[in-house]
Amino acid sequence: MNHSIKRGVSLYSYQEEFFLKKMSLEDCIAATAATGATGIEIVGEQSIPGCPNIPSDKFVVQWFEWMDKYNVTPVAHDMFLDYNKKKGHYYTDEEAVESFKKDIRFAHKLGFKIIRVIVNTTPQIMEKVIPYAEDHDIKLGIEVHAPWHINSPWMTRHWEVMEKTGTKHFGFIPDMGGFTKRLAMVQVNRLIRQGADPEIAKFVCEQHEKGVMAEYTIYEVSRMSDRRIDMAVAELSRHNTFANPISLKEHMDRIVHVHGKFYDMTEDFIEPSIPYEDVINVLKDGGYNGYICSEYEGNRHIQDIQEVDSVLQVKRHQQMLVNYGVK
Amino acid sequence: MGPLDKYILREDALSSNAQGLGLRFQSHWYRALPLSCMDFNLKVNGIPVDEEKVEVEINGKRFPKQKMLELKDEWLFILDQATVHIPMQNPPKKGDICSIEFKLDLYIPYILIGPDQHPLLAGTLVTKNLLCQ
Repeated sequence: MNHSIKRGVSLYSYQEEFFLKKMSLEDCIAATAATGATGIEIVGEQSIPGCPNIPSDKFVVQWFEWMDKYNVTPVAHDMFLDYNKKKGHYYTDEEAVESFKKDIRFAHKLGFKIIRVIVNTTPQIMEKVIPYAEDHDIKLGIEVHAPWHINSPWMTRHWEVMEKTGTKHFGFIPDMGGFTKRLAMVQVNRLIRQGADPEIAKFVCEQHEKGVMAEYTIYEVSRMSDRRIDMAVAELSRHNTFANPISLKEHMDRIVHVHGKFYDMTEDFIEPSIPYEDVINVLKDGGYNGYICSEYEGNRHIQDIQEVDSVLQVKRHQQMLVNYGVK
Repeated sequence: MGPLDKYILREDALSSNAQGLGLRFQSHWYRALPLSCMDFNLKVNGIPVDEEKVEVEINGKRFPKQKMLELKDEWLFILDQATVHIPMQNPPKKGDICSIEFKLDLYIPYILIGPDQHPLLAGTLVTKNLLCQ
């Protein structure tokens, strides 16, 4: 089937350099463009001062000037629901919907057409907010984030809302972290540096790659060690799950966006923990025509021992996408 | 939390004037949080600071520290700093070095954990000798 998958970058990828003020917001946009990617994704509260409030007119003008200057397009804003902003008080559904609408207005103002909906948003809230998203022509995508997969009961409940409403403005955003075939060594090695037993770590990695259910691995490790740090290694297998990419096939027409999560890119453009080529082939075969946005999340696992180079990591990730036929 | 802890208090974080000390701090969470999701404890030269008198300045506004947990609409952007104003009768002078112990607790409002669904607590203790600016 014909596909027209496009490449983008989540500026979340550059969080290390941005936080350390080595890169400005404009630098992040420029670095994205330099990879040949054409789409921009942001976590609003990370990239834009004042978010979730509507940015000033001056900022909005500046934002679109940058989009023109670097020939890129706003693609997705990642939304969060701060259920517990005030001690002891949890959002009612009405408060959650109001917060969500604020994100919709924010995204709309900056030209984003997609909102990544945080995975713990309930189907009830989705149903209430869909008409507002339709009015603003914003597509909402529930984040299919590990340990959930696209056929998890939680996702099925969201799918039911998509079906029931018949809306074109609600779908799925699979996160590539849900296809973690092999545990990311940057994560494992960080725990070893923090004192985890290398032999136990090796065992956990082997179990994970074999597809052994995480709970069994955790049980086995609890018999080998009573140290918290060793359990933390075992629990990596619970948080970084692998689903067969074929599971996306039946939902292809509901996939509005893809998060290209990655932990470490090798010099020869391979992400060792995630079988990107397999997932991309499923997306291509299914005729997916949205964006895959690079989302580098390795920085936090190496920042204790080396300088993080997010720009290089993203560049390699984008090259990998090109190598797999995403032009 | 991790290697970014050292950026909570920068080397020029402490300042002195006739009214007392000012301590600028930054959150090192990857996403801005409202002040209602933050709390801190502070010792200057080993002595706990009297919370009742402390004020926090954020986004150009000043609030009593005790109101902090109410400030759900005052977001501290990740590149910005908030200032803790500590009134003192005889504050250290510019050029003095003070031992600062600053415990910053971030209550992550969208990561609810455990059977009671409490927000994830990301706490960090920073201890630094800082030169009064």
